[in-house]
Amino acid sequence: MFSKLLKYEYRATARVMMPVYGIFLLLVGCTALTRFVTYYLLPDTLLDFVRDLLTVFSFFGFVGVLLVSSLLSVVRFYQMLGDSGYLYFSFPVTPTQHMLARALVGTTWTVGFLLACGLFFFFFSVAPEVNFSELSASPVKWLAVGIILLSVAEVIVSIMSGYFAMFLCCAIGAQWTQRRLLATFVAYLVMGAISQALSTLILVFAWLFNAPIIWLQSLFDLSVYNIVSVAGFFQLTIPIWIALFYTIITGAVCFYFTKKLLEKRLNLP
Amino acid sequence: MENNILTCQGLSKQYSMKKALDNVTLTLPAGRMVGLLGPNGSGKTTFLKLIAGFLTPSTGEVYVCGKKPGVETKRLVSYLPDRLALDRYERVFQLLQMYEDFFDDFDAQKAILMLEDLKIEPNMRLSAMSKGMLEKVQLILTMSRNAKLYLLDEPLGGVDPAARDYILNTILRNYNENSTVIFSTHLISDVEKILDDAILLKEGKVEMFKSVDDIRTEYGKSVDELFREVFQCSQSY
Repeated sequence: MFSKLLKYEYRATARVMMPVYGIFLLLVGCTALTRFVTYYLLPDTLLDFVRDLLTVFSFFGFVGVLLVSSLLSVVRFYQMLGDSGYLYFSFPVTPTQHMLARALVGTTWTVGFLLACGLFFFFFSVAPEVNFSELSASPVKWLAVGIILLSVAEVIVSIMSGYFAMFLCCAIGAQWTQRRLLATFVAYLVMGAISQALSTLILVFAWLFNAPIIWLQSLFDLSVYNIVSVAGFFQLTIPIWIALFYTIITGAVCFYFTKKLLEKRLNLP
Repeated sequence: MENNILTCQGLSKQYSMKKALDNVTLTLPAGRMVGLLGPNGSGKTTFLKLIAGFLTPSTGEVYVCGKKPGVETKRLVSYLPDRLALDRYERVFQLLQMYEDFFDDFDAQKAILMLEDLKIEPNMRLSAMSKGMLEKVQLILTMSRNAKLYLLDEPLGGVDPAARDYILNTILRNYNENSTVIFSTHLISDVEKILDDAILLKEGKVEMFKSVDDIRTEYGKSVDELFREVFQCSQSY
């Protein structure tokens, strides 16, 4: 059942994402073409202005595509708590499966887009400047790979956790029969405030025990030999692990409460 | 309880200031055609949604084939909402595929035949259809399942009189000793001929739950006439 849910969710979201990606690719293609023309064929012409304008549009296009890919699953979840719910909640599928399917699909589109942009940027901007043979001989190459993989994992978990937080806002908003969108937005503001307060509390608590200072001082004690060990890797990446742990906990809490609301307090209009 | 398709015990639903359903207790066996009748706001849609699992009761319990509404009962219950729930960007044949994927009891051949009878192209996109056509598509999808319990919320509401007869015949064709159909409607005179039982709801309470034959025998009038008498509006002019 879950795989079927994923299939239809990918299909429904692809209907929006494919044209959006297509337009963005077209924009980036035109930008790249004008850059090539203005740098190698026709420098110092009016095309420089066109190139700069298209570069700005490409940046806004990147932000726009990121917003669409991030919010599409949230919008679809919100709609599922409205009229569309009479279709989706009639399926013999648990609320957990509905939530996971939408979060997974949204994360795929967002991470996929970020990965494609990251790889494009790396191959065309960073790679030509990097000496790969020197890098591969470096003793810290596995450390760098480990930090990158851990950071990517943190990004993916943050995105999933963000979806569960937004789903909880929608589920809270759906408890009202009138002005659901307003209730959802208020829930979003309240949850944002709680999250900020919690983060501040944790940071204050950490500073009270001088935790950041202790961590930084411990790094100075690490030799080059130790830093490439497993223990050295963990010591160096403590902040990322703490952030990952915090994100998993908050995501799990939001998931749990959303599940309970859908199971015990479903209120289709 | 095992032989009953539907069992309700003290079923109530409260919305902040209003009690939409108040202490409904009844059982329905299999093989019945039941009309859920009542004026606007009497609790018909709330009752159907509670059975289908789209709402959770404030108090009381509801069981479908001995189970509380959930994943298992959704395999047994086919629900037709009173509004459009389908994605307008889909084509009809894609919806047939979706239903076939999610419901083991979905009969695609039956759906295709009904589409042909009502002259609806399977390749047509829902966004290109009129309101009446959309309601017909939704009804076809609902009635093409071989469910134990059909819950139809105003199935005749938006369709033309010619299609109304076809829909009533379709509902009747799905009648069998193993399944029960509950449908809410205001067009009592049209549906009375196919009803076995009638549930009359008034302000969330069950005013009457009798077989249509008993109503005719006891009151000497049709269900339509009795409904008008029970729910007559006061004349202030």
